[in-house]
Amino acid sequence: MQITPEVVGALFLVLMVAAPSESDRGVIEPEIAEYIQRAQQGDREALAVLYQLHIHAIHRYVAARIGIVEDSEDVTAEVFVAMVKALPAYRPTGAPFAAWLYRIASAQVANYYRKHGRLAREQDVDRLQDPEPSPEELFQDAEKLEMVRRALNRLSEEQQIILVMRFVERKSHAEVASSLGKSVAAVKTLQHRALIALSELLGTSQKSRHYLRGSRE
Amino acid sequence: MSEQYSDPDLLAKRLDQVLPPDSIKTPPETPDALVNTAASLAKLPVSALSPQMIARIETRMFEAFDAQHLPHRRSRMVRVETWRWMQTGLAASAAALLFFIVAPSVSASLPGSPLYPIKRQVEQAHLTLTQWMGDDAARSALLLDLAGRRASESLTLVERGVFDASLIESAVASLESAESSTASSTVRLRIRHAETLLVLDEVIREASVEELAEPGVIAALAEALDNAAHPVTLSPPADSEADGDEATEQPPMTEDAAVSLPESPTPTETTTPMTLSGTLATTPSATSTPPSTAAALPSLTPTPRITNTRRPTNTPRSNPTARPTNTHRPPGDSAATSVPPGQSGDNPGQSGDNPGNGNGGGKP
Repeated sequence: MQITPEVVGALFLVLMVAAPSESDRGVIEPEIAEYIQRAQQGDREALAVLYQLHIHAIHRYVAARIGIVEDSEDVTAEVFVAMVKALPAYRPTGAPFAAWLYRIASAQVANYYRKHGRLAREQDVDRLQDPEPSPEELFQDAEKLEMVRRALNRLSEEQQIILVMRFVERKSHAEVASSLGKSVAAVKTLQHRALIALSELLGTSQKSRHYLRGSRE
Repeated sequence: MSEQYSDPDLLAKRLDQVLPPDSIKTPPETPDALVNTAASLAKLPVSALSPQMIARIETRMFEAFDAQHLPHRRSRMVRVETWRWMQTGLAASAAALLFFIVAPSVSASLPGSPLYPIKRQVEQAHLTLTQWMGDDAARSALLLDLAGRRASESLTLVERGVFDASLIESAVASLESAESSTASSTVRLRIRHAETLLVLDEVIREASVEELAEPGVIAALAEALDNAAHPVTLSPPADSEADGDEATEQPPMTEDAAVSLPESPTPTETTTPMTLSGTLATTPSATSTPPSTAAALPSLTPTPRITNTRRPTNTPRSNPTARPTNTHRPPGDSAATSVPPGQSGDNPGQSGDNPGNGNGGGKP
């Protein structure tokens, strides 16, 4: 086979696509590791940086899973308190810090639902995206969103995190992969499975619909 | 479930088109169930945190953080302080131990010892410091002290059969430097000066007797020693002027007189003129009369180096050539066996007629 510039260019392109980019792996992670280490040693400024880096993402995740604004804020605060308590025992495993933090948030949300029992709570309809919905539309939308939320909460932790990051936080596959320490292909596969599972729970499969109504967490 | 998105990559591409990242738009209802499911997730209401809420959450987080870290921080600070004190204490103890172990060894070291260069360096540093402080008296005293040390070292070596001319030269140099200082005219310093000269004289004499060095070297050192002795003789202190005048009236010393001294059985031509020059000039009869030592000491002009007057003030080293005192003198030598004034036969207190010691003549 003759090596021509076109062949070299094609090989280069293949390598570029196949190899994970810096953004995929997260260039900021070493800096975060330094802040974690300092925070573990009692550095308040380092802890403040970690907080500022993750507060919005964690809150969106919590708010997506808990429809009530006040409760989501409270649970978000609990997530960071739990982070502070668990930080001394944190040891870098190669996975991003955000993934660890999302798992804490998932556990706190689960803890919230355990405390509050049934999920049939009144939906906070003030923040619906339709600016002027009719009362009927509001009710229908609220019911639908509540079903989505319930279905979401029945997925696995990993599936919940990926779907929230992808469609609530509107992050790209690469960003999700970087945050969770996974490959883009793995994220796509997980996303695919999660959407299938959620779709079944939401009534594409009729047998699942009854299960969502009035179910307990 | 739509069969067309059985491939995760195809679904991902479609989702990127319908629900692009970093966008807030939501797509209308589509025939694709999975896309509709993703779109329903995108419609979940998510409130943004207000700055006040962010601050409140942060405050709660730091309360937990402080509750967890402040006790540790305090105890850590206490540990750090304790460790610092321990380090300081250990360093001080080690330094003190080192000082008390090494310092005596260093000060007692002799040429050839590994510690001897340290000793000389310390002395030089001390001298430099004294010079830098501008204290002439202290510098002069230190120079005399150093000269005395070199003299003692050379004497010790000579007694071991080793002669080191550099020690003599160093001592003479120190003596000359000390004499250049005005403070060296004090009695105490002049005594020390004279003592050092005596020891050096003794060293040279021993070296000559034992033939530890070439005669030329010994002669040169003796000459240097003689030169070092002159400034003292030329500038006697005021309180000894009377003695000095008296000394000038004395007849000049002769070699015969020097040879007649019993404590130098083997005087050499190089040593005796130097060592005896002042002695006989000032205290011609002092060779046989210890009291003359006391008389000469205050003025201590050049004299103390040789005669018997040096014995009371001399270093207690054994010196067979200088040790013999009056008791060793031959009986016929009246000058040598002269009785001290307080012990003459005319002294009633010591005579046989002494009432206290006699046969009771004065006793009731």
